Amino acid sequence: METIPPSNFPATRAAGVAVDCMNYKMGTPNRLFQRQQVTSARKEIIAGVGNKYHLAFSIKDSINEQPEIPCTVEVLYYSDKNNTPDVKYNLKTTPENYTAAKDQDFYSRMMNNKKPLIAEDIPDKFGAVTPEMEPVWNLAIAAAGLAKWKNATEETLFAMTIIKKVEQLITSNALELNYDLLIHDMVSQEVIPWRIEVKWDPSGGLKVKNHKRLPKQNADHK
Amino acid sequence: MEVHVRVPASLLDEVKGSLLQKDIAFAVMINDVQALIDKSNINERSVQTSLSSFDYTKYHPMNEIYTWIDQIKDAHPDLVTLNYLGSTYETRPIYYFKIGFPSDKKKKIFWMDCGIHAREWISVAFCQWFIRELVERYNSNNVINEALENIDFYIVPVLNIDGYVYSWTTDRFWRKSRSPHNNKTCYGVDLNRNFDSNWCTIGASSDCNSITFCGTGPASEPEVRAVQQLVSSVKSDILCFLTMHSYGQLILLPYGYTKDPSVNHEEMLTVGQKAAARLAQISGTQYRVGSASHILYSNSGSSRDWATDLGFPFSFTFELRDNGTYGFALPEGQIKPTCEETTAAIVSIIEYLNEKHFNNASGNFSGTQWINLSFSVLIGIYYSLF
Repeated sequence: METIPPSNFPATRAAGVAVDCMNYKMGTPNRLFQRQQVTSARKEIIAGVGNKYHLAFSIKDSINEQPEIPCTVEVLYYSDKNNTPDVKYNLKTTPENYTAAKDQDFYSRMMNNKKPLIAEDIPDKFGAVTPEMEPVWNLAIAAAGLAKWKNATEETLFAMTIIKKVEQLITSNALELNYDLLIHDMVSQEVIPWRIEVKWDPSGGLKVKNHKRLPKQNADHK
Repeated sequence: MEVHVRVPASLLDEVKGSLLQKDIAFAVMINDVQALIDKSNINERSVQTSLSSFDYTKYHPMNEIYTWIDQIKDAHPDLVTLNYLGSTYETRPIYYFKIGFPSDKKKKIFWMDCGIHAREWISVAFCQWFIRELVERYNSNNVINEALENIDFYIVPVLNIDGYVYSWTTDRFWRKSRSPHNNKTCYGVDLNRNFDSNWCTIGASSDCNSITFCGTGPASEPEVRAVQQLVSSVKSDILCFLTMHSYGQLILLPYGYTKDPSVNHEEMLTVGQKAAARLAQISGTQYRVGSASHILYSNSGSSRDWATDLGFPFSFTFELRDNGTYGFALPEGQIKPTCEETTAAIVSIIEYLNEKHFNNASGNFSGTQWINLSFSVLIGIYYSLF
């Protein structure tokens, strides 16, 4: 086990994967977590298996005023690239379900839509998101967490860029949204289209039914 | 043979008639050219009229920036000259400002370029903001005021103009320039992989379809050649070379092409960390500081590495807000706080240069120290009286 600089990219990229996983598991239409600076980092090279990063940092709810939560995480990237990274995390305190009321409101509003929601380009090119679309956007970021985590390697750093298109399915017992997202990989600098199909309700939480990386689009060839 | 003709509305019937008469087949391709032109000029927002009403908290399309450039030049002839840097591939003029008090002695140079990557709009907004700080607010900032005596700021508000225009009209997340390659099957070079610095050896692609395409050779692109030519011609005078990007909240030092530190690494690190600390004081934004190849990724052909190897003591890449929540589409509401904190960081670098290179009394005693001093004197008087 080797101590590595916590602000260098091997540590910060792995921390990003852990936060993607946390947002997939704990994110809601009204709650997302952001990483604070990595405070300690160690790298364990496991022969024949892969590289495991042991990290410490705090996470903070980026939407609601809540105390930071210190955490320790382990991220294992397998040498066999067919395996997705293992993420284990340990939070000092488990966040309460403090967005329950807001989540319920959003759920009721969406389920009572006269016409199922169809929208494009969230945020718009000036970074604007209308207040009523914010939960739709947050849910996309939480769901993208799964795709980002499952496709991560030591040579990626993903961030959800925008919702190109979102379509609501007509359902009666859970909100279902089909997202076409653009996800930016900082390392390759590519902006990658990604299809993510989501099912969510306030009690059952978030499930990603399908997620699929789509071929690169090129505006010059449209 | 196919011929395309633009016909004025007033002659339309006449032309149609004579074509029919001569039995020449035709089709209307565009019904109303003017409508198309009008549409491409629309930017959904108000058109600025005067410099005093220019909104620095909004993103501006290139036609507005060209107007703004002219207005800045006209409004501050005592402080500013506008100079031609070169032409983009699509033949748009690239300009740079020289900003400083006129002087008989030879001045040093502080370089800043913005908008080398098209989609990084906050970078362009920052250059505009910073130029205003220099030309309109120097009286209220000792550090800038002193620097303008000894230093000329060379600032390129938008370098990759073709790409910037394309990011407004067609693809918000376009990064590269717009030169065509492989029989126009793919477009654009990553200008920050095209500099003549270990060109295309790492973290760049030789495939034109790639978003980090390094070009067909070192400095193959007109935008890059223009920067290399100007910077080389004044290289002995440049103290600091800054190139502004987004996103990630990073101050990147050389090198990208190797993990080895540059000759002046320690001093650059100290100055970079001081700048990040000053930045964080404004609204708490946390930056990381370090070599690109250690804290972000390895890359070759960057302007920062190229500038470093010309021998400049300081060469930094700023990656502005945010950390990926909005990424390139940083909301306009964040332009002001981003520009304020970044200005504070850059002023701290300038302050360091003032003290190191032009050390005199005023440089060592800043305004806040005077206020603190007079405040403690007042408290002293208060206690001695009662």
